[in-house]
Amino acid sequence: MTRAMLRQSLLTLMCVAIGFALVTQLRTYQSITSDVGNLSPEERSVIIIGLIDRNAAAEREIAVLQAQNADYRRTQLNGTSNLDQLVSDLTALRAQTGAVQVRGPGVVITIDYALRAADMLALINEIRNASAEAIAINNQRIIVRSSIDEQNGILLVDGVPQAPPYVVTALGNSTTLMGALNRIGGLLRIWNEIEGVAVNIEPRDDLTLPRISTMPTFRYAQPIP
Amino acid sequence: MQRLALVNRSWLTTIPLLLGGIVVGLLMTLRSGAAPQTINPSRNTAASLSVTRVTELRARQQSLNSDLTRLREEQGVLQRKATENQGNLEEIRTQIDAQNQLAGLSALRGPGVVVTLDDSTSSLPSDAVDVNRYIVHQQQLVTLVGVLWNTGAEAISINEQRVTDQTSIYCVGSTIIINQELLAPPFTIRAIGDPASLESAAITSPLLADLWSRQREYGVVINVKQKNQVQVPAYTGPVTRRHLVAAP
Repeated sequence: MTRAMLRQSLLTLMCVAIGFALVTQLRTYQSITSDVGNLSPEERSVIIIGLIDRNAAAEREIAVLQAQNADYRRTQLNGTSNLDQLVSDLTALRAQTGAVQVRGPGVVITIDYALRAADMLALINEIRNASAEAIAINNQRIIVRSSIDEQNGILLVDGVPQAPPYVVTALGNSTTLMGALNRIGGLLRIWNEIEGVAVNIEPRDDLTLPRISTMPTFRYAQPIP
Repeated sequence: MQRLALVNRSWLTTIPLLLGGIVVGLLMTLRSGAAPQTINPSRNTAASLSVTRVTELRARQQSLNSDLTRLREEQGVLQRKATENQGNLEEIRTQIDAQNQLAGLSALRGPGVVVTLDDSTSSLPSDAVDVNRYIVHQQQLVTLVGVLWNTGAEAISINEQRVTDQTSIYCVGSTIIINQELLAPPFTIRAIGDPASLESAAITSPLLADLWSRQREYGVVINVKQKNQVQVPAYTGPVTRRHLVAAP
């Protein structure tokens, strides 16, 4: 069991289905649509189902935003305070950015192997793709700007050294997460085939993920008016 | 806010296959008694049907995205109106604005870098062992974005897609999907932060050794440029988070 094997497995994971069609596709990205025509029926159905889900999610959020905006207008017309609405909007945002701890169903992934930073980045990408709503590594909350790095082969999460076994918790629909993370050809399946790498995934009804310890700030970025 | 979980992909991929299998099985049974005909259901017809479907769904996606953007902007205006000249409420609104920035829901600008990645322009040798080495993959994009965050990037986008905490980068065949939007190379990665450190990390980070070796050996195109001003767009898709609650 070598690191090379692990890395090889990452390579395998990347675009598993590319295959022979690729040769003809190099430099022929006339349009994305023509690409879609070149995919296999299975790949096309993955794309179609993803788009259907996404559009349904957008429709739900549009309905929510319309209701919220109507509430703001009504309250403003009545001349009453918008405090409750503002606080509720702020709380929802704070759950998203890691400013508060969050609770919900999800999965616990345990990996007993000294992962490198690139592996952990790939894993977090995989978990996000499985539609996780919040993630923590060894009880450290991962947000968009979290740093996952390494120094002398030691994994660092936001600068804090981590040792195996890594316990990665992800909140979201636990059935969806289990299915997506366990899927054939998925990163965790591939890792689990490698001798010496022990991967375990378990669904949970109630998990709590901590808030991040330091809120990131903006030194360089400014809102575009 | 209401959220919609993406349905388990592997299952959903299996279901159409199963259904397809059943339909084919049924057809075969039905046809067994009929005179053999040369009906050859063209693969191309099936392909062009689903291409049409994808085109329609993407058009719908763009129109829903602009509705989302409009409603979010409208909410911002209503929030400002609700809090103007009201000390304690103004403080909450300032916090909402700050959280929106962190959540990727507002467009940002500032100094930074622009990295462009493209598939190899070299003609593929006839004896090419691994075609994958000539093109940009999800793993290189994932690692590059990771390295930029590690170097203090404050906001990142890939083409017009803002990278948020729910963003994943994945390939389906040769198509790369980010925020459930279909993208094709070249990829333009914009990152706001200290231009010199971001540039240096993008060029010298050991995590990106594989990417740069692909440039040297296979002609994958990489360009890293410092910029005085980079603009990173707001996230325009839905935010799906309906399984968790804030637990203060």
